[in-house]
Amino acid sequence: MRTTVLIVDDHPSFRRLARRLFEEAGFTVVGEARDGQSALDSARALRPDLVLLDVMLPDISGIELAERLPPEVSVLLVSSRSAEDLAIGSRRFLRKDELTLDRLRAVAGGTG
Amino acid sequence: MTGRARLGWYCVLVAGPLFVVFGELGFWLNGITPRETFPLDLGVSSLSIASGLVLWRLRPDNRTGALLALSGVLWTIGGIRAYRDPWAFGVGQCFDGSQDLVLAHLLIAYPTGRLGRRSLRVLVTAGYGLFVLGVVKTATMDMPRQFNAFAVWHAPRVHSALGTIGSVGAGVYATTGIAIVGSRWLRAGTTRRRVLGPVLLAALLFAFADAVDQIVLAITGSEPDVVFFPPLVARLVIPLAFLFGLARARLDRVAVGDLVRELDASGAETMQSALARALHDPGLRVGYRLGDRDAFIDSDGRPLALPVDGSDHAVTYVSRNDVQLAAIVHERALLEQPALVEAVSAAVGLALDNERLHAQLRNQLQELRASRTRLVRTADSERRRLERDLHDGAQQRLLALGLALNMLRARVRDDDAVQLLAEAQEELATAVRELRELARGIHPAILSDQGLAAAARTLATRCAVPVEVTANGRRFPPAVETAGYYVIAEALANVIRYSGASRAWIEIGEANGLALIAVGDDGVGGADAGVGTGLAGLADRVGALDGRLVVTSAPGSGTTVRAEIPCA
Repeated sequence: MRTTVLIVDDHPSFRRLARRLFEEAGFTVVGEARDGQSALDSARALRPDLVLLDVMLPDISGIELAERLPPEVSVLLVSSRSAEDLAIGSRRFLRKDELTLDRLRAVAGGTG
Repeated sequence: MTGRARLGWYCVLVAGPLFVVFGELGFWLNGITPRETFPLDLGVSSLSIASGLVLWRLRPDNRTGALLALSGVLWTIGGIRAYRDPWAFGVGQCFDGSQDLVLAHLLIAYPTGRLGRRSLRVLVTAGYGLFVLGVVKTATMDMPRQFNAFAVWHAPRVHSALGTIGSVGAGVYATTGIAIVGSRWLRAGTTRRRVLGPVLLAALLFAFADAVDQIVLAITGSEPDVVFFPPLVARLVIPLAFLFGLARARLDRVAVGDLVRELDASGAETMQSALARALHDPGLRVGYRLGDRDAFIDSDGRPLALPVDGSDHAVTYVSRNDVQLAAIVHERALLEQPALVEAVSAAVGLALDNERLHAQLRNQLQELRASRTRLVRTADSERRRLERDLHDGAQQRLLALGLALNMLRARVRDDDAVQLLAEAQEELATAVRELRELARGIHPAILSDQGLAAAARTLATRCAVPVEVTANGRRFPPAVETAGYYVIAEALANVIRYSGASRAWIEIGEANGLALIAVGDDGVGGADAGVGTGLAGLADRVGALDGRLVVTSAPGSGTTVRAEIPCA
């Protein structure tokens, strides 16, 4: 069974390309959200296996939103900034320019 | 003073003492009262008349002087009843006690000498009705006309009843007068209390002495000789109290010379307190005119609001050479002493001008400081906006491009094309990294998002020596956090460049409304905050927020950079 993904980012171009990247990596993208509140609503309704979550959303920090998502949902935080710039800690994180098919396939393996 | 007025005053000065002595001599000659009270009787008349005339001369606009002199005249007229003459007795008897009606009028009208409110005018008119009662009382005395020329109706019962009514009425009237002054005193500010206080005290003293007199009279049926004295002594104090209360302003004007000497000796910074002392108004404020603007500032250069109409305070403007220098905000009661205020204003004109220039300078410094703070805040805000624009704009487009290249690379089978794509991706990664560094240098995002403590920890992780961070995570205002961040970043950069330290530490805390940010190391010390360390610019940034930067760097003892920035 393919891993389902919810993509949360406020930049449409990134969402569009991320969707294609995930689909090419073998994921099923079940939805997209542009801010924290709609992400929370979508996650509760769609119950994805993985949420690709931008750290800097217009209404809420991705780190804070991750704490409020259903516990069974895996979260992969992404940002154009580095982990040390964001004090990500031990959470799963990738810089956006590090998102590659190989890495996503590895993530898919870890998520399923 | 005109020649006619001067002649009038001379007549008063000559005839007054003769009149007074004549009026009081009857008691002494005929032994009606103890002879020892004669000097006191004489003193009451002469002091009341003399004090009244002096006050009349000093404050011709105030009726208190005239009324006080009238009370002394009436006291003297009342005294002629002691002469063994039916007309003198009748007249004296009619006027006996009338001086107290005038004194009550004085109390009620004090300190302006004017009654003002209609209710007070009615009260005083009713009080003078007691004089009519006294005349009727004289006419009803049970004595032959060869002793009392006014005894036209022998009616002892009516006389007795009128006596009781008169005594009770006079008591109520006097008590009301004292209560009115007491109430004014309670509501008054310092200036007005200085005027009301002596009179209120004298009135209370007299009321007490008279009450004791009446009680002794009621108990014993007659006044022992010793009881004559306290009310008479108290009566002596009353005119002096009126004189003292109203003439104080005159004495204060004499003290204006001391004010000028005091200002010369101690400098203009005591201007407000010196004026407050000279005008006996502790709440007095001095506002200095701000250039040509219709605005005033205090000695610290802060804006000073002038009182509105109808408030307890009033404004006296001080000018010099037709230039308005300052506004003195004082109790409204001081307007009753315009001569004093004018004398003080004139005396301190030059010092006020100097102080005005100082206040203007301080105001300009404050505006400069505020302007510098605004500049720093605006610059910080612009940096945040620029960083956000880079993040949302160019950076996102480059990242999207990177994703597209990544997907394209998966589809391309030609090795040359794959190689080219790999190089393009490498270039793109470099561009993204450089852009990220640039954005971080413009404004660290973590500072806005998570605060100074988190940003400090990030800086610590990047430092080449171990750095211990102590912070409770409390958020400070953005400008404070930004200044603190750059202090920490610069201090850590100096640790690496110059200190030779093996470890460093960062402390972030708060005490007494100050954000305390300190960076220390165990290096060689000997740093000069002013030379090439970048700390001088930071001191300006911290100073723009009314804070201060202290560098402690004794040779061999490490370096500590400590910033204290108001954050309340």
